[in-house]
Amino acid sequence: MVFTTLEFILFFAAVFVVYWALPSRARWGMLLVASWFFYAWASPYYLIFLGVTTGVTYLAAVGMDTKRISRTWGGVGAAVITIGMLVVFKYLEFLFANVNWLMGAVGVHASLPAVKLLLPIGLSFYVFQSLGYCIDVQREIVPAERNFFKHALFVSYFPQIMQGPIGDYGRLAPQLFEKKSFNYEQAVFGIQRVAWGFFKKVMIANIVADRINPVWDAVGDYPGFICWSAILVLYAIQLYADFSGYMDIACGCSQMLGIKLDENFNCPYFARSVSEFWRRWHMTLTSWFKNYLFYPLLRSGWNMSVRKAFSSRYLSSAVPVSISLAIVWAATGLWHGASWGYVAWGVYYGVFMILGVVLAPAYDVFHKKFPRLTDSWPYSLFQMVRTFAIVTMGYAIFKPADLATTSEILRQMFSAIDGGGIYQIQYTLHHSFIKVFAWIALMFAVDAIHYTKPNGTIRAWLRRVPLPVRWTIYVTGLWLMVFYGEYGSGFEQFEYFKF
Amino acid sequence: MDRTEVYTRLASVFQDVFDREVALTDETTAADVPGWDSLNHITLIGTIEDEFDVKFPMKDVVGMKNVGELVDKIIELSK
Repeated sequence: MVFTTLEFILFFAAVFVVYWALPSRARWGMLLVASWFFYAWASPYYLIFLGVTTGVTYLAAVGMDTKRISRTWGGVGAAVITIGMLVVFKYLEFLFANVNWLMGAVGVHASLPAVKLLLPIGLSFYVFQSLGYCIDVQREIVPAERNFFKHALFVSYFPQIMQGPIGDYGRLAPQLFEKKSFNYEQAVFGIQRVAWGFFKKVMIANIVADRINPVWDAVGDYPGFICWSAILVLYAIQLYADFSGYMDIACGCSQMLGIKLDENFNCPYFARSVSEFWRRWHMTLTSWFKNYLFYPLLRSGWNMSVRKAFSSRYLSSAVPVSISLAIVWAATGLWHGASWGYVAWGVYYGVFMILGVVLAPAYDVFHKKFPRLTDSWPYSLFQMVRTFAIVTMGYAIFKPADLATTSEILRQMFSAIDGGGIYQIQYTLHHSFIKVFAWIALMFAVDAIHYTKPNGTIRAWLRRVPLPVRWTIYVTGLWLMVFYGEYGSGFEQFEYFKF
Repeated sequence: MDRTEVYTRLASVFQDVFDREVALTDETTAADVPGWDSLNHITLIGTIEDEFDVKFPMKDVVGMKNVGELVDKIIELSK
């Protein structure tokens, strides 16, 4: 059930009414039933994977907490089974193809079958969420949940099961089960957030996707640097509007139920460095990899030995951090999908992250030598444009997720000097596209306000304006979405569903 | 080891890691110290472990909220 469909609106309206009509103690049970129904709507077959993930992580966490199994084996067992399930359903075809290729390269004939299994939607998200919980129990950060059904709700809570945000147990679980009474202001804020998410999806993401999707099937027809810069920038806008719009709807729905989800975006295209970008883009995934892979790698015995092998403070920090970053970013790329394209995209970011670590002392010297320059707004603007350019170039690897297509894009971009590409992209976008720029400008204007004043300024302002003005804004927004938005059949996909 | 001694030695570790003098109080958090990001956090923890000859469990590496908790933990682990 996709958020931008009538069936979801009806489903959520029913959940909202029943949830607040029930006594507090009965609400979480109702949320669990609703969440299972929501997930089964995509395919009842998916419930098997949800059931296995829930069962395995429940047994591991309770086993560790009650000391029936050691903390090491509990954590390892949960990781092997859940990640193993992910490997089988997401990566097996990729794995077999590479084994076949590798064996062929060393002269051994191998023919592992080309198995293509159906990847259950959201599996990567809820496997990571429940595994993160198990590791937190292993580290004694949180106690294990003894009630199986309460644990099941944490794993399957419907606003986030298909696309995140990847929830942190310590922050999410208490909110799912605490007693709360209906809060009108939170409900209104939630509706506003949902509306803003719909706006991003139907007024920007769907329209941009519709115009530039044909490009990806005919990369060779679009020559020239300007042409490809335009396409990649438009894809950057589409992906942001699509993913962050969906997050707005998820967070808004949850807020209407009195449950605050972790934020996944914080004005990412205003970041001044690549590492800052990843602290603002898909924040819960970055945070997951930091807590459960990057830190353990850095604290591992071999890394400590590497650290102690160097007498220079710089090398003893830069070398192990760089090795760990390389592993983490290859894994981040692979998390997005089973292809060398995604691995290359992860490595692309890994290289920038490592450069950031290696060159940190030089940046520091530069900053100390030219403080007036580096503290000035034009320099900040330069850093933002530079970061946006790096991120946008990365989409030439990310979107096709296929290295052959990426090299064709780069060839078209840097070697084909043909002004025809500009006319081709103009033709692809066609005239009616111009109005979308107004919506894009509005989206980034709102981000700019959040960036400079992060404490909910716009919603607070909306609350203060006179009622007729406020409702004029609401009705105009709804009218614009109904008449100018693109939605319905053919627009039900979200870019991040495939991960 | 009392808190004053821990603070004195901690100030020198912070100066070493962040290459500047940092005014530390119980309420100081990562947000108050320029450069105290996730990368430098691990370097800082490693340097503190070397200085005080302690080993933080991962729970504390990811869970400590401010310098006050860090000092409490150092005292607890040094006993």
